[in-house]
Amino acid sequence: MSAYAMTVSITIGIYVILAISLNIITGYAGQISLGHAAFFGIGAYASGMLATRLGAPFFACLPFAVVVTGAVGAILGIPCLRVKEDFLAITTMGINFVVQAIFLYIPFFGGALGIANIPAPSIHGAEMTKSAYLAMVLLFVLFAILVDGWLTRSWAGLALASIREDETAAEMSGVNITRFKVVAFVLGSAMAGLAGSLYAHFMSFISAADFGFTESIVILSMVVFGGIGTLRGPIIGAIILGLAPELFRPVLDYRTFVYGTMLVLLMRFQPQGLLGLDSFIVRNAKRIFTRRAA
Amino acid sequence: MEHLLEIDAISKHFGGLKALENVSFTMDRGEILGLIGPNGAGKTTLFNLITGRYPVTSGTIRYNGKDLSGMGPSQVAAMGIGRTFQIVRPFAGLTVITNVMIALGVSHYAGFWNSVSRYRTPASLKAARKILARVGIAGYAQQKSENLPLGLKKHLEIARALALRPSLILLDEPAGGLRKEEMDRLIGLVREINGEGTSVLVIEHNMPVVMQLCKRIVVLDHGTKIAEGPPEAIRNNRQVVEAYLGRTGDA
Repeated sequence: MSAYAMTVSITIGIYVILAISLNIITGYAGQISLGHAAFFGIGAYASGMLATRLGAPFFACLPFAVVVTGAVGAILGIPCLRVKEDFLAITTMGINFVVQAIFLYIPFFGGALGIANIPAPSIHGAEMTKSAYLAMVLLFVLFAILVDGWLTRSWAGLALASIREDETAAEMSGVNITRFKVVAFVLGSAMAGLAGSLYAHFMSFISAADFGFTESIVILSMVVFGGIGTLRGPIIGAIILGLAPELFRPVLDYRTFVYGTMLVLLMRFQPQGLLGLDSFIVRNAKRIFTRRAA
Repeated sequence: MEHLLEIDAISKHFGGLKALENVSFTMDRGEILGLIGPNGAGKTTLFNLITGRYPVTSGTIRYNGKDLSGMGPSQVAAMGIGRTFQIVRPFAGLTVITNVMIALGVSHYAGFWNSVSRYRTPASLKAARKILARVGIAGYAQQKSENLPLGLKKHLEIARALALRPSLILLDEPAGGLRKEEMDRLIGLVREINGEGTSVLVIEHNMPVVMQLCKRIVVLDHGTKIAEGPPEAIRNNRQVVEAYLGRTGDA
């Protein structure tokens, strides 16, 4: 595998974790978020700063980033509990701008220079190779998939689904909607923090510009493109949309044009996403398999 | 013996609007109590107060002798008060059986280990199927609930309420929008559930249904209680007739 292919794979792996994490908040719990990159950024900064300022090893920085991001997710989740739908969309977008501005304008966070020279993880003093890093990212992708699978099979996952479907009916069925919204925000944020840590130690340099509103939209597009509310959807969405800019490199000038057109066409003809519930592909796959079984 | 439900001098004001003013009544165990009144009388508001959706402005609601004030809807549900809605609210995108499973989970949503355990266990599936069979919609278990006709959606809402193992269920216009035969099925179901020991507080506009179901009726008008008693007495109560039809000589 070439270094280039490995770099692309690592980036996509990080996007898969991000898409899975946003899908917990937006897909399962039904809480729209246009500011997910903020939590990606908080994780990256927490990890990168702990490594560069205090010289902590990567395997201490990563859990630290997860905990910090989860905690911030809980705090920022509170204003989000009071608002719904379009208002929630604007609130989360605002949170993204605020977090980005804090990174950019407060000198403690490195200001416009960002955080540089974040060390790559090392094992027994030897710096991790790119292929080892890719293997580690894939392990964390697997971990995210397992967490997701556990969530959707649990009572907590069922509670999230009830909130997505109808908050009032959920409450009357005994679901404490405040508690479970916080659960979704904390879990989704913490997982984004994990992705942030992986990103920071891979890139070795991070700055506020990496975690803006556009990035949030990219993550949301992956979730919706693949099929929101499913596990396979965000994964395939992150892979396709993560790969697209690389595949369209030959038509560099038209890259965003092609990317945008893909999104528009898919939403026009498959609003449930490529592999969403009741999408063309899933419907037909089901038909074929049931016919074979019969 | 204490009452199952005690509504004690409750008022609910929305700004200057007095939706309910000093309403009191009690409900006994095993009873089917009718709650009637013209549109805007405050019936659904009363349901929303009992279930903890809104806080009361003043007064107290006691259930099994316990004061419900300060409790949120999920706590009230966990105490065993189920409800259905005037305009049905099934979890539309989920299957019928999943709808019931959600309410069955009421005891699992509290502790951490409880809520992270698997919900699809043989025991929970069996319990859910039993409830669906109880309300006569077992054949629709795997259907998306939004695809059910209105009558069956109402059965589903009752199933969901029953999954809380309630001692009291609040039915908000169960017969509303139903055809005659659907209505008869529903009335039969409410009677059976009541016969098994669940008390029922029912809001209903369809008078024949109310008269059939209830031995006692509370009448609200403009937020106050104007009458209470057995169906025959209510039917002949002058104030009630006036509330519905207007005072003689008005027209």
